[in-house]
Amino acid sequence: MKIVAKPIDAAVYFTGKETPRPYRFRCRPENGEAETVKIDRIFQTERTNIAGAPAIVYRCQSQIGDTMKLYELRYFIRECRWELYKI
Amino acid sequence: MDGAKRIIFHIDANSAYLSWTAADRLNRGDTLDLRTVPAVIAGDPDDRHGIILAKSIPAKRFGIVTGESLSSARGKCRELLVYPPDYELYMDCSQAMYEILQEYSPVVQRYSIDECFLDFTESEKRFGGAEQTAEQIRERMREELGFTVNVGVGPNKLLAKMAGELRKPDAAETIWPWEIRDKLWPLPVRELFMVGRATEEKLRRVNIRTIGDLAQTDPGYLKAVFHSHGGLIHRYANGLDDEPVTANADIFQKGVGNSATMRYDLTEPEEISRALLALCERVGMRLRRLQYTASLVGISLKTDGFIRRSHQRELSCTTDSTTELYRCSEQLFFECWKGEPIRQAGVFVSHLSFAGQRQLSLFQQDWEREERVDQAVDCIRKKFGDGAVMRGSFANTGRAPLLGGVHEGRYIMMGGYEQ
Repeated sequence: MKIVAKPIDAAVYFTGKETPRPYRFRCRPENGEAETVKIDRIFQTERTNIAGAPAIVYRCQSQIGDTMKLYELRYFIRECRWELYKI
Repeated sequence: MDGAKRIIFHIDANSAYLSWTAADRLNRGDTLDLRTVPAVIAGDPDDRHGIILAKSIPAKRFGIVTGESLSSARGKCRELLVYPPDYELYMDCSQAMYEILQEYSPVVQRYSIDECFLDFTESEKRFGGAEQTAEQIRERMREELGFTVNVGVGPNKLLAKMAGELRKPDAAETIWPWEIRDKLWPLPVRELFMVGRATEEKLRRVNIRTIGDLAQTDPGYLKAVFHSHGGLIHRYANGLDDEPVTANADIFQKGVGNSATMRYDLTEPEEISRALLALCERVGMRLRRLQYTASLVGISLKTDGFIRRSHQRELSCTTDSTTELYRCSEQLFFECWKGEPIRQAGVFVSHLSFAGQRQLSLFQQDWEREERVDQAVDCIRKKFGDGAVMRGSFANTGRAPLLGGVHEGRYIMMGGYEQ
C-alpha cells in the first residue's frame, strides 16, 4: 500500500460510544464522475496521534470492479475530515 | 527537598519546529522527510522576519545556526529547503507531548514549547526503574507522535537538562551524582546551563575551559569575579541544584511584554505612536486575562542600525488599562528616542499584583469608565476574534490594530509557558 492521503466524502454511522464506522465513500476526482465504494469489511481500527493530530485509521477491504482491494481510511477527529490514507 | 533522593526527567523535542513540521508533512502524505535533508524553518523575509527558527541535522552540518538570517543560511547551502512556521501545529505537538508526560507524573513543568521537566520521584514505585521509563517515554514519543525527543535523567533539574544534551537526537541519558566526573566534567564550560558567551570569554581568560575546571575552582574566587552568578555556576558545575519541579499553574508570572519587528522602518512620530498603541492593546489584553495589574511600564526599541535601548518607569499606582499603558509607554518612548528609524519596538510591564487590590492615588483620574471599555473590548474580541473591534485611530490606515505575539498572541515562544 502507498500513502495517497486524498480527501474523500464518507457516509458514516456514529453510534454514540463506539468508534464511528464508515460504510461507503467516494473520491473527488478532478475530472469525470466520482465513484462510490461500499466498504465490505473493516479489519482493524487504530487511534493515532501523529504530530499531535488525533485520528482513527481504518484498515478496510472492498470489491472495486473485479478485484478485492485492501486500503486504509483515516478520520481526523479534530477537523472532522476523512481521507483515503493508503491504497 | 534536601536530603531526599529525587528523580527528575527533562524531555526536549529534537529540533522542535523542524521535526514537528516534518512529522506533519509525512502524516499528510509527503514522501520527503525534512529531517533527512538540509531544511530550515524560517520567518518570512518580506516581513523582515527572515531568521532561522530551527534547522535539520543535515543543515547543521553546513554550519547553519539558529538565529542567523535566511540569506546567510542560503549562502552556506544552496539546496536549502525553507518552510514557514505553523504555530497552530506546534501548540498541538507540544500539548500532545505534555499529555503523554502527564501519564507518568502529576508534577510536569512546561518549561517552554518544546521542553518539559517531570518529577519522577514518587512515580518510581508505579512505573519501575527511571532508565527504563525514560527509554519508554522516548519510544512512545517516536511511535505515537512521530517525532523524536531527548530524555535526560538526573537527581535534579540541572543534571537532567545536562543529561539530555549529551547525545542527540532520540536518546535517553542519565547523569547521576557518581557520573558527574565522567559525563559532565569533560564538557566545554559553554555547555553548562547559565554559562553564555560573555561568561565563557571571562572564564577562558583565567584558563577555565571545561566544566570540571570550573567545578574545582575556589568558589570564593568565582564569587569575587562573578558575584552571585559565580556561586551559581560553581554549584551547577558540581551538579548541585535544588530547585523543585513546579507545575505551571503554581508559577507566579513576573511580567508581560510584547514586541514587534516592523515591516519597514518607522520614522514618523505618529506611526511610532500607533505601533505603541497596538502593542499596548496586546499587552493590556494579556494582563487583564491574567487578572493582574502592573506598576512598572517599560519600552524597548531597536533602530535600523540594530542598536537596542530600553527605558522603564515605576508608576505611582497600579493599572491594567490599555489607555494608561499607552500614555506611559508613549512618554517613555519619546524620552529615549533620538529620531533614528525604528525597526522594532516593544512594550513590557512588571511588578504585578492581583487585580482587585490596588493602590489609590490622590491625583488619579477616575479609571472606572476606562475599565468598563477595556472589559467590553476584551469580551468582544474573545467572542468574535481580535479583529472584531479596533480603535478609531487604526481605521482605514491598513495598520494592524494589535501588534506582538504570533498566532493571535496565544502562542508561547520557546522559553515561555501557557497560562
